[in-house]
Amino acid sequence: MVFLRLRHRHRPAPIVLWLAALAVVAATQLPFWYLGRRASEGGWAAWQETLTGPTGELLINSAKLSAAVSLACLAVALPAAWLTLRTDLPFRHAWSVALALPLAIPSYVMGLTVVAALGPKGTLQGWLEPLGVDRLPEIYGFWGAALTLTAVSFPYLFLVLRAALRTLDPSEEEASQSLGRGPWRTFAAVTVPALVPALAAGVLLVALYVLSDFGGVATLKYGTFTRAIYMQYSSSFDRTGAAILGVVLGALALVILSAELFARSRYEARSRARRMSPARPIALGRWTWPATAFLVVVVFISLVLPVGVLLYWLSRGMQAGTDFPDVSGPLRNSAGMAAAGALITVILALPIAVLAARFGGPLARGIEQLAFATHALPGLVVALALVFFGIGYATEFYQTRTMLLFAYVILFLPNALGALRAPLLRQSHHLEEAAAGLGRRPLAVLATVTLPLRAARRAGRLRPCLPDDHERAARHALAQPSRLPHAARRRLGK
Amino acid sequence: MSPSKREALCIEALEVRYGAVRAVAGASLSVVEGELVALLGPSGCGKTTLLRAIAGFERAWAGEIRLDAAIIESPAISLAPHRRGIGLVFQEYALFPHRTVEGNIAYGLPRGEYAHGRVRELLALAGLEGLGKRYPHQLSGGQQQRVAVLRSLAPKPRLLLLDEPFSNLDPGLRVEMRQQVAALLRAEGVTAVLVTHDRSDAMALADRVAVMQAGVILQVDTPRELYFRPLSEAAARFGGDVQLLAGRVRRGVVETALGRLRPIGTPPDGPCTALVRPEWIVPSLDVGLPARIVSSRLEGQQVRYRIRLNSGAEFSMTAASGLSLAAGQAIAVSVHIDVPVFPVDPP
Repeated sequence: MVFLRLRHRHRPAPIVLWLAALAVVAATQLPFWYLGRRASEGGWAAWQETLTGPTGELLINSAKLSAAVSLACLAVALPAAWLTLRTDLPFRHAWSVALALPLAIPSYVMGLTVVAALGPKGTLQGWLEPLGVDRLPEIYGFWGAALTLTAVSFPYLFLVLRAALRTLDPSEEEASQSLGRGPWRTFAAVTVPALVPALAAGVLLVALYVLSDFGGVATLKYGTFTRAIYMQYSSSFDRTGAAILGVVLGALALVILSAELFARSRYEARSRARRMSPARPIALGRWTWPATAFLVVVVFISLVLPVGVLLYWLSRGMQAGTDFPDVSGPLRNSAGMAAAGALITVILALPIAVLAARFGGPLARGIEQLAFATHALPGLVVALALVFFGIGYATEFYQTRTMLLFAYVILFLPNALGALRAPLLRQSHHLEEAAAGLGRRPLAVLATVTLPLRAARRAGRLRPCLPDDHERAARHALAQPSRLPHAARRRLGK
Repeated sequence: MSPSKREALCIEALEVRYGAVRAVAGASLSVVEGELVALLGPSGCGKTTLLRAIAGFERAWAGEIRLDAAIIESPAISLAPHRRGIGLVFQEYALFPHRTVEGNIAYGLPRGEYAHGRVRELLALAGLEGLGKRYPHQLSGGQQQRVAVLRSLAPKPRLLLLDEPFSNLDPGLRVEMRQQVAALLRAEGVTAVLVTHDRSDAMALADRVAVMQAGVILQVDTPRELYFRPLSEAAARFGGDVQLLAGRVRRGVVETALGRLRPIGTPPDGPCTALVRPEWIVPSLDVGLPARIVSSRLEGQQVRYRIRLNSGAEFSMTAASGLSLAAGQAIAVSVHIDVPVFPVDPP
């Protein structure tokens, strides 16, 4: 039957799954343990000293930026996901690739792009100069940072929403249309509510990412918490202050996490089995051009502009006769590590995702939320935690690739989880029950039915492999041989 | 079906293609106002595709669909689904999980006092009072099914389409729901097309049954006509159990192994195939051709017998279980009704 509740809480999860999930999540909590130790070193005095002054303002700044970027990402990613998956928009496939690619743009590059395009003496002002415009509205600060971070983080939400949309049963939308509501009203009244779990997961990723971003806010000179932490770290030997700020940031992340948990629990109970026939594409008709224009603007700002700026700097460097360093080594390094990191992260995320989506219960939920918590930590904090751990407890791994891979896992586990979870929640249990009925043991069911769910894996694998600000800071602190984004940053004279 | 009734839906030589596959290959059907027509056919015959084309979710490749004399679907014209005023009840109901029963039923209505009253009226009509505040997953299968029908009925659609509405229900509930839904549709006076692969659904519910096979509609008739007077062997199979006898028409009579039978109409002389459903053979003690019971099998309300005539020819015969004939017993059999006769296809 169709609408029966499908969360079988009475079915116990295989013990191996529990052990694996607990081990992974315990390992990812290392930075918090480090933060706790560091933050308690100075006693109350250090707390008082650190938290007086502009801390409150920084916190509000971070929260404001998080909220604004989340909303903006929603406004971009939701229509984009729907257009590329459900309509007859031309070149849908190419669009969906182009819309995922900005994930590969580090936030400081995007920040530089925004400054170059919209800043004082920037491109736009140059164009407007003949018209007598000698000043543009201030780009540094909140709006610039919001624009920058939206451009680099909307693909998180886009990919999560696409994965969810793909597993959505079109007959509810058709029912709505047959009841007299057009495509747009159907989208608002039926599709969006069905996407709530995915929306919540995607917004969570974006919000936590914004909390932890450094490159974007640093370039656009907007004072957020993470920037303050970075300043604290780099400006003094005593890292207690920075650790305390890290703890506060972690607390803010917890608030966002519980909000997401609330949104999810309201809708999750109603996830159900679905007919899996693909929807017939909706004819856009005269809306084709506005829709295309929308995507053109999004891709232009988030992908074409930053790549263009990079190429421009490159050509200018070469014209100036700067010797161009051989980057093939770093490039190979970067790609190899990215692939290995992605694979390991997805594999490690699977037990947690399956446990939370399939078996449920407060413990599984707790494990999952803990795994998400690290997403709010700046890459720098994670890296320093690992340095601390390496020097103190695992000397033989210090400054090795193993350590770097471990850092990747901690940093990208939430991304993989977010992408794996939404499709798992929407997938029918009947498939797995059918496998169990055919005599497969629980672990065999996981291996033969749950894991091959293609949509889930595809979306999950794509994301973690792309470099971003987190990774750069982590690599930096872990003193690994120079890799591409790092080298690029040096070239840019930052 | 009085002649004064207006034609509500008209499908003319409709073709729907999926790539090179012709799912609907030139189907024609006419439905008059207030009528309930069942589209009966095996799975894969194109009946659901035809239904979806009427609703506006599949495009016509050729032919046209008219609703109240206006073209709603043709290769050139396609009215958007939400402008057609055609309700669609899905096989899996497709209730909105995030809305209550009331919220689901009121979905197609303009907001306000009218919607409130209409929802109450419909819930009462279906005997679902008190369930308005529940969510779909809190309802039984039969209740979900009725809510899905009520939701589609609420905006008073010009036409209601039902896609295998009973296939998700167990047999006992199925019979009950069939009656309830039929009562609902008649109470609302709605014109409806119902898709089913179940003969008894079609027979019990519909004013007329359209038999569909391989993308075309073979015959549209009342259940009674379809059962007693099928126009082809294929159509005969949808009406009930089939037993075909080789025969020969000679001067208005069909000569078969079961004796000389009266054909329907006046078929031309020559070889033919005659339809004698197992239940049309009537056993008695002395009237008719002598025969012997070979074997018997109880099938609930009826018993299926294997009988052998003196000529050695064997037939299938069903009779009420109260008759209780034993294997080996000598009886006499006869056929009292006019039998459908089909020409033999040239080899």
